[in-house]
Amino acid sequence: MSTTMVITTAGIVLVALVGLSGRRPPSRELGEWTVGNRRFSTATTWFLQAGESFTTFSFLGLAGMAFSAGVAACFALCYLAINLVLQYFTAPRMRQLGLRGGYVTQADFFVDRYRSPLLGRVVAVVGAVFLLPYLQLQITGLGLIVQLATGSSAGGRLSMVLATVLTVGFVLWSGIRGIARVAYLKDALMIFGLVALLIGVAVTVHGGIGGLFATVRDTHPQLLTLNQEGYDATFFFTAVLISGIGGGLGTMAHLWPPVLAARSGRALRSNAIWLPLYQIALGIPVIIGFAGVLLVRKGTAPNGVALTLAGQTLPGWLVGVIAVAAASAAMVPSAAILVGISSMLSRNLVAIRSPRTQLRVNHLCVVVAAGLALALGLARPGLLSNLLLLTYGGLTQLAPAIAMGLARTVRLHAAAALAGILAGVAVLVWLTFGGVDVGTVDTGLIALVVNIAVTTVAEIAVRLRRPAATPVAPAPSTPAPVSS
Amino acid sequence: MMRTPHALWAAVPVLALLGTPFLPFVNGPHLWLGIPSVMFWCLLWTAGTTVSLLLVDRRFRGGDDESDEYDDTQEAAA
Repeated sequence: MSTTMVITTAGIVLVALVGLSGRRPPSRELGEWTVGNRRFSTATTWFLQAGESFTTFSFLGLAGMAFSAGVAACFALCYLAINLVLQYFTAPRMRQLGLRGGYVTQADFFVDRYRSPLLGRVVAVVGAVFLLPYLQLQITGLGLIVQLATGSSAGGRLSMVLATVLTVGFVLWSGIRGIARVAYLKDALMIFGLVALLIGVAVTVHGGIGGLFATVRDTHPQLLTLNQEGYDATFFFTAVLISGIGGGLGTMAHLWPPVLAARSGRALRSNAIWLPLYQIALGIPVIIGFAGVLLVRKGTAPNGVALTLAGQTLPGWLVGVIAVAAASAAMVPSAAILVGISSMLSRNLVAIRSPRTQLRVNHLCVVVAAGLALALGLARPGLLSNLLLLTYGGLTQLAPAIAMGLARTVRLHAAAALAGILAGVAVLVWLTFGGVDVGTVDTGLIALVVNIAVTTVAEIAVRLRRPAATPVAPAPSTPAPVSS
Repeated sequence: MMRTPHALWAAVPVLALLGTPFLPFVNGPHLWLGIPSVMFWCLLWTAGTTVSLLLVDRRFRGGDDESDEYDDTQEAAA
């Protein structure tokens, strides 16, 4: 076994051990396991929220996209900044409603605001179905990281299994507290890994970073523009818009527990203000992708560029540390996604009254979801960027209903919200799997337009049929225990 | 949630970022301070997001957001 493999394996085990140490007994009901005691500090919430920005996509996908499509990779910087602008306004409101209504999951919001358990169930199913590819993306990415770092495909597959088992272990044992603890370690490793790689590239390329881009401008000028085939202005605009709306309105179920667990709305607003500066670090994988254009041989798989470069420019032990950083960037989001999926399925889809039984069913859902994602990851590893866009497009169909639900008075009926969500998802599935050519327009955005149109027509129809019916206006709910 | 016009400051970076591909002086094979102009623009407005949200936040420091009032009530009760 090589030094790199030893360091990588030991690092993955260390990450899991840190996660296991986060447990604070007793964790006998879903509320404590999912949102802690709702008193997470600004710093803890920061690292939980930052986890969404620094994932395997940041390490592999962004560098790969810059390698093949140049500055189009900057779409991630744009949509993540827009996410935070929206979150500045929406996250404190979500937390406030969550505290008053005792929310544990995203679907709880729909049940409470629309007074519709059915809508909650549909949201739980939509959330789970569209988050599963995102979970698979993290696991597949982790395998690729280890494979590229160690040069062993068997090692890559073995690490996928090992990391998944360990992640399931610390998630079951510690819940969101374990994820919070690992998130600190992950971000420290990520920043170290990215800076080490940047220095390695800067030292290797003639003329440093400035020389790198001057050479790219002279030899591949098209990579510096958004006028490329497949990555044109339409792609950039629609991908940024749909992903910005999706993240900003909390359409991804796993983004809710960190928000619900925050101590205050002020903490969430503070994070939304300062997190963009942290996200500037995402420029590093873009630079690394550009370096790949000059340093990595043609034909290299785009997603393998970052770690191929690491292997070319850094000593083996440092490649191992970078592999651990990248692996932790897969394990933290995986853990958060598992919490998001399992809590919605056990609480909103399967109606169980006993808190203890609910927690057991939840734990079963964690194991099933992780097992399914691992099996898909081993059998059908896809292209990272496309999977991410599909996930965002699908989950963004929840955006109109979330936006309307955040208002002081909910003026949309559950039936209309439901019709819009189902129409949007149906159109997205048709566009994605029906072979419809929409050019470079993001399919999620087209589906969202249909979604809004159907929601509007359905709402008008509901009001015409029941002219006396007043809009849904939930009474101010009293704070409820999270286990309710 | 906030309802005053000051919140519109938050729209500035959003419009700047969404407009990236449509600005000829940005979307071209240019280098600004040694890095691609598109990348420079995106990094600039990512930092600009912090500035714009700080601006919005300063205007609301009085705590007119009802969620803050609710938090304060909860803190006092705890």
